[in-house]
Amino acid sequence: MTQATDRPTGGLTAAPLAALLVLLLSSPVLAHTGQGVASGLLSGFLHPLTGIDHLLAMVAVGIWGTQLGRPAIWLLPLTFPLVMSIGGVLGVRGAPLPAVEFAIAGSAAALGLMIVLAARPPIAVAAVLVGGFAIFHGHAHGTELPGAADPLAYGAGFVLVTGLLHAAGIAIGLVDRWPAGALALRGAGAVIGAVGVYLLVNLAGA
Amino acid sequence: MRKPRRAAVACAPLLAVVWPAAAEAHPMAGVGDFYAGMLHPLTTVEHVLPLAALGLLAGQQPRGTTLRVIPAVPVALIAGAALALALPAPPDLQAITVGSMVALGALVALAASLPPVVAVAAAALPAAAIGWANAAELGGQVAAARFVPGVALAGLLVVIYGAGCVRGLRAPWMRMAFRVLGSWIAALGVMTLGLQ
Repeated sequence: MTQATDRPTGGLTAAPLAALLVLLLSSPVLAHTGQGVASGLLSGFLHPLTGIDHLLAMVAVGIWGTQLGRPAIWLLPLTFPLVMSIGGVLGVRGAPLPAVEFAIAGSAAALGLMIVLAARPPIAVAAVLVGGFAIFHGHAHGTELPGAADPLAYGAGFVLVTGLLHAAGIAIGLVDRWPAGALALRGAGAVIGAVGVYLLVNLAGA
Repeated sequence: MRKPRRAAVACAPLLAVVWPAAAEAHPMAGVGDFYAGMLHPLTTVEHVLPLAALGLLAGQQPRGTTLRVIPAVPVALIAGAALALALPAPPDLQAITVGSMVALGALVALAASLPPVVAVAAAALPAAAIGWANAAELGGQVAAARFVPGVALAGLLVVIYGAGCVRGLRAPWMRMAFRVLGSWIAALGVMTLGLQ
């Protein structure tokens, strides 16, 4: 009951911040002063959104976080950007990492499976699994840095949007508190896992 | 509930200053020396983000520590600037400023509670480096006596905003959001270190 009364006020506080965020994120793009910075931020922002494998895996991370509950749900958005930035640096620098595309499609499949099973491994196991994927996702974003773009702005873009995708997953995962919602989440996990497997099969065929 | 909402509105200038500024480098032709001093640290990513992290970190500390850290920042900025005017630039200030992005961001992410002395030192060192780096870029016609106070005031305002946001918005998820912000700052620091 206390949670129910807390919720609306949280939303009130969030509303101005959310509006602000939208405003802020649009302004660097509109400002045509620093072409490399603006295009870097924009393409960094779009990159995780335009790849279905990235998008599903990151939302899945958020959903699984809510299933795992308290420590994990917060540990995740705190550590993921840091690990991912290391992967991003490796990618921009061109450090070789084996089978990146497989790892990313595999991450969607594996995370989907975790959600279907509502698996609750020890926190360290979950952290290593997700952290490993973070390196590969960061590397893939870094590798595809557009030539004209400012690397740091691009990096900022994909780190921020990845955080927002996690937040989206966590928001979706809030339905976990109701039995029907929990079931729906596991169904969503099945869809994510299936897409991941489909992408894996495609990669293997190509 | 009024108070946190007001604090949320108060956060707006901080973010509004930080992000568009990060995109447009050094737009300071035609403003006076004092305002040039204010804009300079705000328009440099590796200056404004450590200062913002410093503010968040200060806000996460007990009240007494917050009140010690905040005044230490402009003092250190001025001291660093004075050193720059007196001495040649040390080899790599950027290593300190970007390194402090990583360190301060990580401390914010951990919501580390620091002894007051350590907190003041953690504020003074990067602030002095930022003051030094700003004054080192002073051109021939800019008056240091007006430019440096501008730098100090800008730093003070950023830290006050950051600390005020953290102290004003105390909902558990908000506290977590500030820690995530720290993690993002540290991640940007890692990328800046790795990509230069």
